[in-house]
Amino acid sequence: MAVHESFWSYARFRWLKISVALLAAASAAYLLSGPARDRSGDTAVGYALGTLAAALMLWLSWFGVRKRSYHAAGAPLRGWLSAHIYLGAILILIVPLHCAFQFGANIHTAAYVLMVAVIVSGTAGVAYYTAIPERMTENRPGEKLAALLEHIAEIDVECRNMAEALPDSIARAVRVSIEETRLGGGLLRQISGTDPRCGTARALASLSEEAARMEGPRRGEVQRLLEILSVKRSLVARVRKDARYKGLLDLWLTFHVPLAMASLVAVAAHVFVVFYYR
Amino acid sequence: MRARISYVTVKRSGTRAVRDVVLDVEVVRIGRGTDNEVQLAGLSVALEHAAIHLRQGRPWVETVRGDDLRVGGSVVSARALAPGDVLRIGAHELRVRRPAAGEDLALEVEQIESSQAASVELAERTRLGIHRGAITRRRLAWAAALASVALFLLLPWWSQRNAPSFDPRHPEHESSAGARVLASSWSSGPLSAAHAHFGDRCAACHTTGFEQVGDDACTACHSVGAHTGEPSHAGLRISRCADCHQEHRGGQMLAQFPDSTCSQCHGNLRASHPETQLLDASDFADAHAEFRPAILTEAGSTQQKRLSLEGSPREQSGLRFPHQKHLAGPLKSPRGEVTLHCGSCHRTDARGEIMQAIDFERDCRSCHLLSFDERAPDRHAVHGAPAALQDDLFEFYATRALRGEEMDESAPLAARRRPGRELSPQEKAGVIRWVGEKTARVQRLLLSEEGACATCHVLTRDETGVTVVPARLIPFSGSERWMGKAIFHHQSHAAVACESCHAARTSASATDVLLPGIARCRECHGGGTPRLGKLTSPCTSCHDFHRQRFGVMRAVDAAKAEAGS
Repeated sequence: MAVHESFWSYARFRWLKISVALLAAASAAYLLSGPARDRSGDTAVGYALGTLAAALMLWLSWFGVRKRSYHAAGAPLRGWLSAHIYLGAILILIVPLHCAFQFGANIHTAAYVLMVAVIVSGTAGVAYYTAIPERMTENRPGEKLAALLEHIAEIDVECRNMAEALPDSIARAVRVSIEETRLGGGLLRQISGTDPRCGTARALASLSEEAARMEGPRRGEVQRLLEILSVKRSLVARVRKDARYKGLLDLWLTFHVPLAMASLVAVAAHVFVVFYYR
Repeated sequence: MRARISYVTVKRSGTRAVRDVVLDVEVVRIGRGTDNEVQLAGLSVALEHAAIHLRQGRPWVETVRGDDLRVGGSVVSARALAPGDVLRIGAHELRVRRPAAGEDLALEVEQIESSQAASVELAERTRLGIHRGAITRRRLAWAAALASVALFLLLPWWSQRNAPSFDPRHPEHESSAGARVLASSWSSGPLSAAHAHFGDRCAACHTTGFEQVGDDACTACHSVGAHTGEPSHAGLRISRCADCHQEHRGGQMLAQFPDSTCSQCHGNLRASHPETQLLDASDFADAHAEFRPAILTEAGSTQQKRLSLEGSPREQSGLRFPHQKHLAGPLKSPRGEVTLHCGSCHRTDARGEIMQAIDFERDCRSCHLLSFDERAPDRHAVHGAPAALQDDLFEFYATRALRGEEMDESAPLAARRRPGRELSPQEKAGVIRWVGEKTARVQRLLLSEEGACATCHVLTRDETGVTVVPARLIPFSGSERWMGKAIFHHQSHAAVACESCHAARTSASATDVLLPGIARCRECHGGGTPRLGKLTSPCTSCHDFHRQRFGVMRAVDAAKAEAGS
């Protein structure tokens, strides 16, 4: 086995092969189940495909439990994830085969739409987990987030000390940089990875104006302050980028899990209704 | 390079302590890691932050992995160092002193400030992570699940319960559009056009939960008679109307089925019913055998045999009838000259469907009077009942003879006497004997090869005498029609001349089966798939499934026909 085997290629694409085979079998069963007009969710093949789809959905949901049991025996979590992704993806076609592509403005189609939403959010998750970790490492090579924060705190202390001997306008800018640099915050601001009202950016802007006006040795001190704040700005940007990446890795799951629950309930409602009104 | 590093610490009492370390190395590495020559605490110090080495005999600092190295307050990445320079890395100050003799570098290292308070403050202002407060993923999941229950189960159920009953006279009693959408959201698909008005009133048909819609729901509005249970299709396991007539599929009618419904069995019927006599058929245009009408193969018998038109079967109906002669032009008749056409004799049934049986009295007698006595041309023989004919003849001659009105010279004188004189019993007996002989003579004449009966009928002769083979003109009582498995609606083919299908004008014999072959039908009729220039003709165009005589369903039509007649 390779040292690093991703969930894509786990066990030589075992789950990709199984999923494709399952989809092919379902398609064949559908196509061979009599004339097109008679195909429906309530034929023998329809029931079989529906049962398969419902069973798959329940099993896929079980992943939420399995991923928490760190001491579970059997296949590694990476294998489970591989199966989760491939089997989840084919559901998008298994269900239309179940219902013979009969869609409408009803709870049955709503259940399918919810399931598609779950799969789409899952696809986003797959995309994020494929692309983001590498970028996160690039963003803060070998450092922990706490180190970035401590560095910012140190710069804040240093700037405050430097500003004490400088004019009020300078001191005000430094205070803006210290007190109005917001890290994190609301969902949108974290996901955007920027802050249009960033205190450090504003402090840098006003300080560079001040520096242009100043003369003499003071100017040099302000220049040094500017340099330090530039370092802080890049640190702050990295913290925000980090927050954005973590947010994205988290956000899709915030849709995926509740949508999955809603979808399971909708499927249960679908099953109840089709047997209640037979 | 020989370097002296002096670590300065300030004790709580305020006294300064200095600990010197002298190094003899190529490079003085500075960083958080333990393998550095100068190890500095603090997360803002990189593991390998910077390094000092000699460059042209002078100390030279440059960053390694650290991104914030300041010398004299300015951020630098590399610089030469001179005594008096102050380096800043994290919370540490590294002061460059004048080195002692024999040494290249003297560095005083001191942690000058603590950023702990600032860190705490920053942490307080920092809110990272997207899950905080009341909105957790678990709660969202619960909310989504409960919303699903409400939206997909409770609200539709509630809307259905509150849907007003159907009353087209009071459309204002309709529920609101939103309520209708909710109530009908359980529907698995659109209703057929005829049932669309039920809308959200699911309970109109779905009377009991977890039970399939029963036939009661259909028969509440539709009178269907003996609709199901047709034995030849018992294998289909039809138990309910809805087994075939499936709702919630949209469309115009529930009674439209494509040929595939039939052909999935009839395309290869032997596979499921090895005992069948039926031939396979799946499409009229190209997968249907030549017609096999039920043919009378033996004169006098009512037994019919299905024979393919391919073998040009002959019908032994017991009739001698040349269509050719009757259609040839003006014919002499007791009424003068007549010109016959098909409709002179052939009439459809009340539905305009099949032809009624030929009736001698109605269709033949006006020309074929069956006169038997030239002295009484208005007296016609009884048709269709040999015993009645004999009685009728006897009665006719007896009446005439006993009245003394007989003109036949072979008759006894008493029969030819002048009226007004009573006959003696001996005379009467003689007259009756003669009447018997006369009746037998006339009957023999009628039954002779030149006689009236033989004009149209096949006669058989044996020791007991000559008999007329009764003509079986299909359909006669108890017979199958020629095309017993199909319907042919003559009236809907009225635009086509009879002779374009029935070659009657050239038929010299009644044994000709004047049915057109399937090729003739196919000139106009295609199969179930629409094709340019052909009438789309699915199986049910001719094989009406629910026809009570040969299918399940004709009860409905029969009821209509009765009501109409």
